[in-house]
Amino acid sequence: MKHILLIFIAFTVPTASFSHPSSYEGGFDFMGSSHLKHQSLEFIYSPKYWLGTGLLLERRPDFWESASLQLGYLAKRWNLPAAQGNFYLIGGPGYGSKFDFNDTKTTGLLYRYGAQVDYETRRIYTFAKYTEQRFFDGNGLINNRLELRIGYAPYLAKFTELNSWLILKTLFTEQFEEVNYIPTVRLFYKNFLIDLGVDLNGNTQLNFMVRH
Amino acid sequence: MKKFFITIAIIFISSMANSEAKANTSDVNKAIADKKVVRTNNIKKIKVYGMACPLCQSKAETKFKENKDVKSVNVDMEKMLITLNLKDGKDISEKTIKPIVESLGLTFVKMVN
Repeated sequence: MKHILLIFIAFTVPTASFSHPSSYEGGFDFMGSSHLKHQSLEFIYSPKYWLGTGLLLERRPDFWESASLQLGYLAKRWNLPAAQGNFYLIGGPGYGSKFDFNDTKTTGLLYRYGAQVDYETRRIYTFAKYTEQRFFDGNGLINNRLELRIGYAPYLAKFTELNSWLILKTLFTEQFEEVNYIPTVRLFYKNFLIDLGVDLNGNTQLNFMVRH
Repeated sequence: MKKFFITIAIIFISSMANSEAKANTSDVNKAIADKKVVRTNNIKKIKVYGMACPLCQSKAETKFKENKDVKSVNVDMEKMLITLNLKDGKDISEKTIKPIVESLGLTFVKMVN
């Protein structure tokens, strides 16, 4: 089973999830992301608007890989005139592997946890998310990640039109020893979203989401 | 890299021009629709908070259209209004509307006359 999951990850286009951990009641999200250093696929079903459940597959090639069940809980929402702020708690158990510098591979059950805050209007988008993955048996930290985003919509559009955002993403990974700045263009049309970004080293990042 | 940015710029400029043109048309249609709204009594207007993305508009329309007494739904993101055009002889109470708004993760503010 582990090999099937890992092979599935290897052939998919990915990186970190970028959406809300829960969606609309009865909503289903399928997301994927790809960057040289981080790839992921995520499926979320939201039985309620404040609860998301799903599966997250992610990896950093040659460093670590994991498959985990995801629970996203909307701990607090602020609904304001034409604006919304959210605070989510995220977590779940999983299974994964970590590769050390001397090529030692550690495999086992893990737990993933984190938090996410975001605030958006029709013009401005801000986002911060921190997650960690650790082995249950005390074999330590697998990975941690802090992602910050700020975005601006140069024009307003309806749901049936092409919506566009300019977003700057900042990623801190590997115990904050690495920082990636990724200017990104976000295009979404109806239930489909795509992010196209390039970091300062010329590595591209592609994200997509389908929401139903 | 250069081709990538040129492609993105073209997509951006095209979508901005398209949105401006459609905005002008929708203003005219909205003015016509408003006049129609004034003449009929089968209208419920709901003020909500939290609508910050176009998907909110779509979800609100879909959710309210599921109600058998609703003929059509119009969402005005700028005014934060959801307008329900009801079927002839039908009514929908605030008691029914409020949980629908809340199930969308939005906040019901008030019914608007």
